[in-house]
Amino acid sequence: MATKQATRTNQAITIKGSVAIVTEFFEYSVNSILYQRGVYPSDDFRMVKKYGLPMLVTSDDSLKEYIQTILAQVQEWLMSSHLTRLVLAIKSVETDETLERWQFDIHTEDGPSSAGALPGAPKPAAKKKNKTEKEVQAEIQGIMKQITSSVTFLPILDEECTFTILAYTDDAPDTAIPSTWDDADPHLIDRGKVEQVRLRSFTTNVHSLEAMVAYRVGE
Amino acid sequence: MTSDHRPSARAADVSNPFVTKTVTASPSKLRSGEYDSLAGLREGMSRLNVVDHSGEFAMPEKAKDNKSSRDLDRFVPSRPSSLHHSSLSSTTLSAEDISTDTSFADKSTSSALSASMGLPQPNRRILSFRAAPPPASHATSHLDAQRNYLLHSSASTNRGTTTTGPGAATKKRSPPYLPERVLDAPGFVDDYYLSLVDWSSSNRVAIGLGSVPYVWDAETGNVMALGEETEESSTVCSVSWSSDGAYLAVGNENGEVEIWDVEESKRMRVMAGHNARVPTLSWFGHILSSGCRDGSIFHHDVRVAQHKVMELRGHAAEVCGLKWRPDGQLLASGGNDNVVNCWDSRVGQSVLNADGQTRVVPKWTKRNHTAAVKALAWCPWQTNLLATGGGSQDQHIHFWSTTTGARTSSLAAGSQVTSLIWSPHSKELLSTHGFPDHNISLWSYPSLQKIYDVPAHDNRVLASALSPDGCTVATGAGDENLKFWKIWEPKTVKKTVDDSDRDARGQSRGRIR
Repeated sequence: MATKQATRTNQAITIKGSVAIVTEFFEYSVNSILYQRGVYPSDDFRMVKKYGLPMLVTSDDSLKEYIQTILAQVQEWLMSSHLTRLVLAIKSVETDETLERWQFDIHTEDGPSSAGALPGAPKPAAKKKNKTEKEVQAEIQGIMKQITSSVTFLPILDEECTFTILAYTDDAPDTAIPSTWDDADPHLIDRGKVEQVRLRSFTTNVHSLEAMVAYRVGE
Repeated sequence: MTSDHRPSARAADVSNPFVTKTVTASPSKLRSGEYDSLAGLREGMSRLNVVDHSGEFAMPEKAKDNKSSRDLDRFVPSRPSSLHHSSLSSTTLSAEDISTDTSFADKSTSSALSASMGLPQPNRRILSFRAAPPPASHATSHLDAQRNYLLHSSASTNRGTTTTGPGAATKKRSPPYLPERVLDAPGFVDDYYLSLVDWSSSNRVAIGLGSVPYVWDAETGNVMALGEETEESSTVCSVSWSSDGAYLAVGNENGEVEIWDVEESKRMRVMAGHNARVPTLSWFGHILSSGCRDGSIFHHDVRVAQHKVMELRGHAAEVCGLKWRPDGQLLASGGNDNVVNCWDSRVGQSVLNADGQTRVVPKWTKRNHTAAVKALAWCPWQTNLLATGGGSQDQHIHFWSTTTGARTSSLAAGSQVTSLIWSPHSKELLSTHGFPDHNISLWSYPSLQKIYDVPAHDNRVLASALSPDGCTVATGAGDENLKFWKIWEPKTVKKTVDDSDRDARGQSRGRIR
């Protein structure tokens, strides 16, 4: 029993497992951001325990379904290593101006797209090879804590807001883009007004993910 | 610690063709500042940055600005490489192509990786999901503040009830497959927005058929027509009993509201004012509120000549649901614009005297429903609980805590919700439905489990009313029938069955509460 447990936790993460971890991370971080930034009323969220933290996830069925639909596609793109970046843009309902931009850069380390892309580039360090799920969870926990604490320095969103999720994919011909997705504006914040903070990152053996938040500062 | 990292970061940067020159341009800074503060490092970095991209945009003062604000920021993780990145990208990320450039030019540790991944690929695509996210239902802002205070006190108690005893009320009950009585209702208008059935506290049922309201006495079975159908009489759109059961208010197609003394079978007064039909009415004491097709709600003081005492404008489309809370503090209204409004009756009274016509703002506004909201019901045993049901596109029943404006729970009813009735004695809610099922459903609250479904009518059930003893429900439907259903048992004293209790049970059917 105990040995079985031990082997389980020591297992290295496969690409499938890594995709699942990253997708799950997106789910919880998107929920957390929507809650923390008040894009949806706090009553619509309930608390669950995740990553050793109390996380808030929406209980609004339509929003849940919306996020799930997006993440299902994101997961597909992650599996085929086409996704390079995911952005959650919070924008004003009234002016449609982007107020915050949460950016998650994804690098696939052993993915087919990176292999042989630049022959001159040295191979990424192989030292982190045997990372266990537990270590990854700890890294994710760090990011989640930062997202929560970011409320303290982000400007107050005093207007009604909505959000958009942008997926940056490479233009490989085999990237399947469903008809429900469309080319979009990058939702950047005006250059003069932007301030940004880089958050922690986490890596699985397959993916490395870096988080960053950019926000508009008042004049 | 940080000084250890600096040379390595430099070394990595040197390998980068973009940076080699500028490194030699600032060696003195670096060498002298072997133990310099982080600020020194940052300054060096931002100078690098400026020289680096001078061809694209040289804005030294901008870079300085960013640097100074960076210095104040405690939330930047202390990794040198990430510092480097953020000071760079704070000026650059505004243009997408430049940002990819940045990720190319920085990153000491994973520079190779980012070079392979972040190198501007000829056609990178930015995609977004086509559909817009579901709209948020925000309470009005002042209420948001209130809610933050109240959230821990009252909302938590509401939530508490939601979770307690989910299995308690789910014991199987056999549904009333047959109605107690069926009355023919010829000319019952098959229109979702109208409210044509009401049951008074004096045990009379009023129903609007065509242009004449009828009263059926539940004790004697007598039927009485109020007025006669004439050429100019307009279709009845709503009927509502005053709380003492003596007066019946009738809303008409032409916007007039009539008050009838039923005992005398006499029309007491006609209150004009609305310029479209009046599909819903609600009494509180001597105040009669009427909802109009144009989205306005009037309060009429039926005692005075100048009957219109207030106008509430909070709907952009026909008001089809209107309910006073029994204590008269709050008025809930639902409209064809999918909005539920809750009005505080105390607000606006004093302002009104000043200039006659004022704009009163609802206490809160909810836009969660995706179809017209006709069904509204105040819970008789939990004063701050309001249930609202949406039309055929929505099919949901939402439960609101009216003190905080919070939605405490939701229920997917699976069918157009036309009316809601709370049981006064048990923790149950009855809903009547239109398309596609035409049934009536009984739900337990707060577990929100369905107790039973009854296929009640052949056409959609449009209106319902509860008997004064709280046991029988009358439903009017598009199939021109008025059916009476025994939903709840009379309230009994559980402990002992003594004589007085038996008496109470014996006569409860016709009793006036």
